[in-house]
Amino acid sequence: MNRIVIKNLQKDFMTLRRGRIRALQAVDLKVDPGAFFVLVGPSGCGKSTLLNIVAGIEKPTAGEIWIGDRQVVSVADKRFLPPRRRDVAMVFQSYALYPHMNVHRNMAFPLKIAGDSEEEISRKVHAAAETLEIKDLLDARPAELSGGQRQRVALGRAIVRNPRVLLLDEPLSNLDALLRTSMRAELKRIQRRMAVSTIYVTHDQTEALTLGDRIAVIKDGLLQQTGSPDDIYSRPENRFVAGFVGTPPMNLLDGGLMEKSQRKVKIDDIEDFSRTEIGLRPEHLRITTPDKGVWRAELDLIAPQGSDQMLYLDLSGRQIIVKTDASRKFIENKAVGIDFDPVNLYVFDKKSGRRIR
Amino acid sequence: MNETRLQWILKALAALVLPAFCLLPFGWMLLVCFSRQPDFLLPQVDFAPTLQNLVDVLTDPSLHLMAYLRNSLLVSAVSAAAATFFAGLSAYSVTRLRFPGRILIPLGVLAFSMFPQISIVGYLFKLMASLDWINHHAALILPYTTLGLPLALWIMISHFAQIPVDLDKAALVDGASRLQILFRIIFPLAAPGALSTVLLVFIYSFNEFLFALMLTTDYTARTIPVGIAMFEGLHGQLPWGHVMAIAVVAILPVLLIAAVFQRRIIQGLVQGAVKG
Amino acid sequence: MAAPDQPPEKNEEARSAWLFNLPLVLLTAAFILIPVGGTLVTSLFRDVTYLPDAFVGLQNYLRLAADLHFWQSMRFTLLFVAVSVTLELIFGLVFALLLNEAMPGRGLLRVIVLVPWIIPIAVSARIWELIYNYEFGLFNFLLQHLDLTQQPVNWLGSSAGAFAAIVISDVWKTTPFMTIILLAGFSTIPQDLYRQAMVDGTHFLQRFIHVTLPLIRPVIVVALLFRTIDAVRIFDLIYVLTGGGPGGATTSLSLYSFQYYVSGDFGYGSCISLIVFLIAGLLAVSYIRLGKFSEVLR
Repeated sequence: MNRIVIKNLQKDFMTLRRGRIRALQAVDLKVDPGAFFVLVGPSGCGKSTLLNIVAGIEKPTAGEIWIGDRQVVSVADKRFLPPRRRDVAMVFQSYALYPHMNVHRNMAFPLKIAGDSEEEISRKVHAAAETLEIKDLLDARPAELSGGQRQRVALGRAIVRNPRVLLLDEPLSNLDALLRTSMRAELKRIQRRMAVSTIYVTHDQTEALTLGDRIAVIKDGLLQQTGSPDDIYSRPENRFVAGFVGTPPMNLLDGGLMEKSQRKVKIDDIEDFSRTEIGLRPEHLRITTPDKGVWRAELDLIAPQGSDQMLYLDLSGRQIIVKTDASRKFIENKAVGIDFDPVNLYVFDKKSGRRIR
Repeated sequence: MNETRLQWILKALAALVLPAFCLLPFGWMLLVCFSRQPDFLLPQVDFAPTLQNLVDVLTDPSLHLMAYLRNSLLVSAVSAAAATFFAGLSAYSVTRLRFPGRILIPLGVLAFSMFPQISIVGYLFKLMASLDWINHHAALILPYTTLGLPLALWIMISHFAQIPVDLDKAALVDGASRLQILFRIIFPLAAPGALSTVLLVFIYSFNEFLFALMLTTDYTARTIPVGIAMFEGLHGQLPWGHVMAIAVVAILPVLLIAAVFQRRIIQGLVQGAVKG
Repeated sequence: MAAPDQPPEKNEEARSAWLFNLPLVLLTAAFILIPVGGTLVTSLFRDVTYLPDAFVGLQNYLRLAADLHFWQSMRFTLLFVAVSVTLELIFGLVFALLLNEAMPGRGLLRVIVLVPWIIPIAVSARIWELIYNYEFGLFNFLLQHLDLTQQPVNWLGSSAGAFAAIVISDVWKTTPFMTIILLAGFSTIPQDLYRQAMVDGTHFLQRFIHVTLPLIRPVIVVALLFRTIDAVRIFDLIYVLTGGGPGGATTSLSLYSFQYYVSGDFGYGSCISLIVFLIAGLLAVSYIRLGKFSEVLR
């Protein structure tokens, strides 16, 4: 079984200028065998560091990691397996293709190091090339390939060893939007077929929601929430996750606005909203006539998006985004009313950011 | 574990062996310079510290040490400045103007830098002798400038190439002439590169030996390297203390420059390497 | 005016270009091309100070072919080049690898490594002369103290010793140069390649062989080119350290030529110096062939 278990991982960096920086703190993760696990967070949140530690390229300051039934790293037990003993494959954002080798040799490299015979190597390389549809590129050098092709080669080099664990560090970030969407699907398909435990790192929350079986959101080295895509989206545990996930992002407003509502909205037993923040997703808001809505706002901008449209509203100086069907027609610079079903209202504690409801 | 242990050993090695390897001779030089007897390693001789060696070489009139130092500094500085300036002019033309034979300049200069000095210096001596320039500073400055051109040119070219040509175009549209562009825009922007060049050519000229040896016969223009090579002693026998004292004086200018400008120097070398 | 079919801009550019290049061209012509040409011509003459000049054609060269000292010089020079450059490459690689590791004081180390190269050869040669001193030199002191030899080694007085002395001093002086160049080469290799190689299952030595070496090959070739040609011309170190002795055992070709210049025989001296020129030229051409420089030219 190739379950990955990360316990209480911590990573500190010493820098000359700012002293000690804690890149990762108390990280606990479990990746089920064959699962596609996504680590998502803004730039600099420590996700790449985590990946590097799992691969063995960096050492943690505290904690332990298990792959299958092998303890791969343990600071307390002073154990550290170098990358080559972990049977882990990795794809970097830059692809890291060896420029002086052609595609075939690039993909064969890990097998050659492992000591496979010439025929074995040839067989495995061709099989991987087949899967990734790069058979006709085998003689080319990285410099001659397009971004998408290089990406496939990097992936091919990773899967050619049939590894226990597959680590992907923002592999699609350098591709153009169209390519990215198609590669996402293909990536998922390959991963399913190989049933290899995978950790995928990205800053793109759409990608996370699309690809992951389970997602972990990280900010500043601290895990914010772990769960299924639906958990993360519909039941964010704190303000950060709520605002980070979802396009367009959730509208987060000061709780005091509830006082200024045109009609009373009953939200469970919460009487005092002054120390809260409220959240409403754009698709959960409705436009009505100015006097019938919970609040009165002005429609600033209409941004059509194919079958939907985004409406940018001004609510007492705050910007609100509403997502609605494109068939309804609106006029800019007109007053409108905002309405919503109380069931969809999120309430966060203003100080801690945790979700109350 | 194995690998990190190895890494640690490597670092320790580097930290200890490298400085030892590089600085041992200098340590020795200092010891002998400041010792009364150069043979103090012999069991029967003691080490007695003294400044007398330095005082002797600095004050002895027949040695002309100050003259050598002055000549070296003068010749090196002038040739470094000149080489950088002329190379700058050429580098500008090579990177910005189109003309037939554009590639020939850097390539030709590169080829010339590989000419053995010995095949130049013989005839040069006869030339200089016929012009009665032997023992003149010019006899050294001009060849040194020329010898410094290849190095200077390659560094300047790599620096100029990084300055966007759009700047030139904007200036041309503003009405500037090529020379004005060079002096007001390019040179200031390439100042760090020019500095590296000046330093490297200075070091090269300061250390040059063969030309100085052949083109000077007395102390009027002779440089320090020749001075120390020719030194047979102040009063007859070979007094190593004095030799080392001269050595200390000789390396002081270059060491100072290295200490202050080390980053520039390394950058200059690196440019040459990676570009070449 | 010249080239009326070219746009006037082009002409003006070409003209100013020549102006810009004038100093370089003039200096190079005067102090490199003409002297070399002059040397070539001189080599065809009997040009001795106390005799009238006379054109003798290839007679100097024939004399050279039969000159045993010349061949001894040639052997020494080539042997020196081979040994010296090889050692410098190896040491340079090792030092560059050491200096490539991030460690405190790395900046300082880089400066220290530069010091031997920055010092005038003449000065360091005299220091080495003292170190090799038979009675109270540093080397003999260390060797005897560390029980590596019983007798003090006659460095400068024996041909083998002198050869070793010259090689050691030269390696000491130029390894820093190699190190810096190789370090620069190392820095062009993206870190990600090493990380990928780590994950692909390599250990340190394998990474060095499969990733580092292939990618710095061009840098090595260039560095070797310059060092080899430099080594062929060697003069300063030998003049000061051994004077070509003992008995001409360490006389490099340049020194041999110089000796004739000093004694007034410019014809023969020029002849020898041209041989050096030819060797340097041959080396340059073979390196260029080897390094496939057509790719580098841009």
